[in-house]
Amino acid sequence: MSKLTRVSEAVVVQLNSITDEQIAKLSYLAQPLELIDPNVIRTDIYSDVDLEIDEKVISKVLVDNIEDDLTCAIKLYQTFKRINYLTLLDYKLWTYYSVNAFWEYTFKKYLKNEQTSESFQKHALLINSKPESLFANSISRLWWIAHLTRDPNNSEDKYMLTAYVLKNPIFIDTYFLLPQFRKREFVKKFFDAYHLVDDTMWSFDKEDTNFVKGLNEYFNYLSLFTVLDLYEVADILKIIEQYYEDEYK
Amino acid sequence: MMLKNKLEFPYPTILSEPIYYENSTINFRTVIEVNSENIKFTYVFTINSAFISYLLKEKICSAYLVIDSEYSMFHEIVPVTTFNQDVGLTLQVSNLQSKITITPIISLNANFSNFTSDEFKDSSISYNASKFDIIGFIEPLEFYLDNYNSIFPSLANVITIRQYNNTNKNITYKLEDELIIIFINDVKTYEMLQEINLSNKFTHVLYQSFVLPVLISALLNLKNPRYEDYRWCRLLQNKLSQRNFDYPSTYKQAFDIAQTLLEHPAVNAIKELHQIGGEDE
Repeated sequence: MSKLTRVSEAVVVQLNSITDEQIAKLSYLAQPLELIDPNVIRTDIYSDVDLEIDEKVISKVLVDNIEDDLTCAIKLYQTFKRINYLTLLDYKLWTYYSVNAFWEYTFKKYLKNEQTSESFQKHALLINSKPESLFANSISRLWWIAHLTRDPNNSEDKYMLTAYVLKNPIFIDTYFLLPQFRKREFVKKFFDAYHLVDDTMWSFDKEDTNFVKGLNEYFNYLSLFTVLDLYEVADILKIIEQYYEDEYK
Repeated sequence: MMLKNKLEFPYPTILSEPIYYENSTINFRTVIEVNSENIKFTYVFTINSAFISYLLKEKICSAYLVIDSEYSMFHEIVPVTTFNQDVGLTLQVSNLQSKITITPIISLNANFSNFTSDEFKDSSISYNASKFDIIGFIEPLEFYLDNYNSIFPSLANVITIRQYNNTNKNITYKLEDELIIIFINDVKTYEMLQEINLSNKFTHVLYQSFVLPVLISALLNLKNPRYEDYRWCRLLQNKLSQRNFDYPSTYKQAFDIAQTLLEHPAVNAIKELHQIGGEDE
């Protein structure tokens, strides 16, 4: 068992300057921390957080379920859920787990995968304090999506929405960057409305990448002069349907 | 909350300046107090408009404060029901860090056909506005939580200190976009500094020992195009303009200005140290 750990600020600074070529040379055995100046203190523990983690067990769960994001997200959510809020925002925490304790998962999921773009590979390793970074890192991405989509009132399946979002990663890179998505109430209202959208007569489905990107831009535009936070399910549904009518009919 | 250029609102919007309304305005003032657990805002939301006051009274529109702390994943919308007098609002520090933005807004509660008023600059035109449309807003108020825990109240929003784990014993600094950050490379030293800060003693000794040189370096970069869009650079430029100082070109000039901005740290440090001598006797 290990105490909750983070990398040092110096490690984050040095990792930030690693090149795509260096990333390409990383392997399961050649870990990112080996690129760091040996004189730098690499990690320290959160002395004020009373939590011990069995890193090896969790790492195994992640690697064994590398294609099953939901299982990984639930495991990570349950592991870190007792930590205080500001610690969960700490980019040094998530960087430690993505490049060190759960490196095998990060490597196999994002670096070994030829479909992952070079820019995304770096984002999967590194993190800064911006929300888009929290949703890109290999580990924090799963924790924050589980946190924002978990519905404790759904007695049948608390993670039903988590599963839907993780199955459609385009949602994470678009809708979840809207400030309103930092509130679970709005996330629930939004996806309740999304669920009601009837796309049976459309030539594509409502999870289509181009449709999602366009709709996200439309919500961004609306947020410039209306208060999205106040929208109810029916209002959100109306916007989605209106957007489809205007753009595709 | 991101509000685009106000000119793009498709109907007259009431602002803190009478741009689209004849004489009517809205205003927002706040006093902020921070302790280790809470941030307490005392604010006054002032409505100088009979038309908007009527819409609020009839519940045709509502006022809100949109509170964001991007780096904390924090986003709240707080209804405002009391105007023209002090209102208290408390937020827990445990949910927040770094930059906090408060945007006062007024939005419609229902669709509004023929939206017009004698107070509009051009009252002959009517507009159609929709439910949730923003019909009034005030430029966002921004503040940095760091500054309220800072040992540098006279340089609020310019310099902060962070702990940075490194074997290097030297104190280092970085000219970041938002702030000049001084790094203390040792946990124990950083904790001792916090204790000194809480005791409110030796402030000027600290200024003199390592804040002054960092400030001099920053002042010598005020004319450097690389930093012209950096927030700390603009804030320092404003401070110098207010005091009719030119941007320094030489170390000597920067040394002089830095001492003034820090309220003569060497002189005050001598006083602080002399006082300890007096206490010992």
